[in-house]
Amino acid sequence: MSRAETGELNFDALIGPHLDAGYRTALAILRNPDEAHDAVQESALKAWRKLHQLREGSPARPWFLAIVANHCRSERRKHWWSVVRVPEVERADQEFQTDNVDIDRALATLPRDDRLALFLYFYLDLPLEEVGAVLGISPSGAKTRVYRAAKKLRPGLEMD
Amino acid sequence: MDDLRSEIRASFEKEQAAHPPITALRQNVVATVNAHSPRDTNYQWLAVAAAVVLGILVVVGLMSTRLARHATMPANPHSSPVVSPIADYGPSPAGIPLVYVQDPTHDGWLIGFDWTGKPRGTVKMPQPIAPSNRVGQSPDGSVFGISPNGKGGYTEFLDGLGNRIPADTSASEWPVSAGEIWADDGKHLCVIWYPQQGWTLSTRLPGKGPKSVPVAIDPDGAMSRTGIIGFSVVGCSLRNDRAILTRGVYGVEEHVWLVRISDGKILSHQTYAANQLSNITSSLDGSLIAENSAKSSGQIAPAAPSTIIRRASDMSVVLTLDASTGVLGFNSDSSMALVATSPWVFSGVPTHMALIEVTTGKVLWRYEGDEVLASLPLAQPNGKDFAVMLKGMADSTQHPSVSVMIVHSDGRATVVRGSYVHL
Repeated sequence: MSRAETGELNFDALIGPHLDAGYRTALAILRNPDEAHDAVQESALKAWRKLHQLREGSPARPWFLAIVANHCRSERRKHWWSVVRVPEVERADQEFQTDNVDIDRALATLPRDDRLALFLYFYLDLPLEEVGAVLGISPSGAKTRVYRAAKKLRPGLEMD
Repeated sequence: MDDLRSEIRASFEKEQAAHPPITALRQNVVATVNAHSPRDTNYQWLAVAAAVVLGILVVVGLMSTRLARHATMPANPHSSPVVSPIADYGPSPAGIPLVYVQDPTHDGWLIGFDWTGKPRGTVKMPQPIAPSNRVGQSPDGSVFGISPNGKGGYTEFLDGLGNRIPADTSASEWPVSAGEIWADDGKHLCVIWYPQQGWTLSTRLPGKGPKSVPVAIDPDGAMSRTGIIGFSVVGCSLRNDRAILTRGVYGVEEHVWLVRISDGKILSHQTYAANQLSNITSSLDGSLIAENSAKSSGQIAPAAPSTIIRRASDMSVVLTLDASTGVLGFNSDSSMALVATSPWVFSGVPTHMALIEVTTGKVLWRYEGDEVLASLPLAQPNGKDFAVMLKGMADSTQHPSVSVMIVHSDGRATVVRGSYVHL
């Protein structure tokens, strides 16, 4: 078996099981299925090229999802730039009322990284270590991020 | 926490279920990766270069086809009615500005929310709103105007308790234009119309006869003779004695006039070449106007190269925005503008919005959801906030199902739970 064939098998074995989660993450960020499919394809190529950077024994899922998330963030920046150019793009955090919040809308208008943290933790059921790895922050930082984002939806929330 | 976990999961599940991955995702992606697999190290750079070119093509393709893709986006899966606390909140409190929507479960009931998003009162109209009628609220919600069949001006008014306001029978003529807007005092209506004596600017209190002055916006009748009128009042400040009138007709030159309300004197007149602008919006006090480039409504070319906010008094530039940005409205003190960053007038395109500071252009808040504006934003009376009503893209009815979002000037947004019915 050639080195390339071995690489292909390794790639399929390592990344293949996480492509579905990669697509779902891309969809959660981009909210467009066509763009999400493009994103997971592009991210897979990037992952393949960077496969040597994945340390022996390190989990592939957060590593690949981080590539997907970064790719999507990059795409979103391009989109925003193409839509409007204003002098400053600073974004203030948004807060929501306790009782009158429609969870769908509240989630839709959260800052993207807050929304992504909730998606990874609550929907994909990733442990905080992996949530942190995807977001590029520490596990304790991920816990804070999830808590802070959830608190925006329910200000009186106490973390378990 | 468990409840919230379930709610969040359910919300994401709804979004994900609407767009599952293609069935052969894994096989396709692995095959693509294999196709790029280098058999020789020397080909690696070629693969990288090809991927870069492919990436550029993808980005260019995405940018160039953005409108087309938006036009085919499915309706928002969240636009269907959701469970919401519908109740009789009692008579609306006097003196508190409210934003009204129809109660989805009781014909003829209007629910008023205050500017923190709390339901504060229920107005029970004498009869249900006919599907074809247009109902408008005054800025503070103390008066409702009813326009039969959505054509012509308001012919009937109700007070904040839903009681009919009797019409002044001594008035000889009533404006018939559909383009009535509320003045900045929140009590008068302003309209430009054409009774027998020529173009006339009128102000009136609900139920009262109009106070009118002639305005020489078309002294020789040349524009009126084209049969395409297009005159409207876009700003009306009784406090400053100023009105902003426009003539906006697609394909012909656009006009904007600054007019003194008390005597109809034209203080300034500006014209724009055909096809440059989509429309002109004004601040409530008539001090600012926004020249929205035609590009903001999706027109590719020709179009003004920028959207510009100007002082109406001397037409000096206050802020220049990208041409794809359209100013939807200004808040009450003209310090903030709510802008559309997507060509929202096209059906099927979600309305993306931003709240910006007028003097600096600083972005304080953004909305990039999947829904569209059901009507122009409402400015908080004597405050700084906006209220917007959002509907699903597929809902093209006269009274769509909407939710209410209060956009606060500090960059927060309050979303009112539920799926109400637009007035």
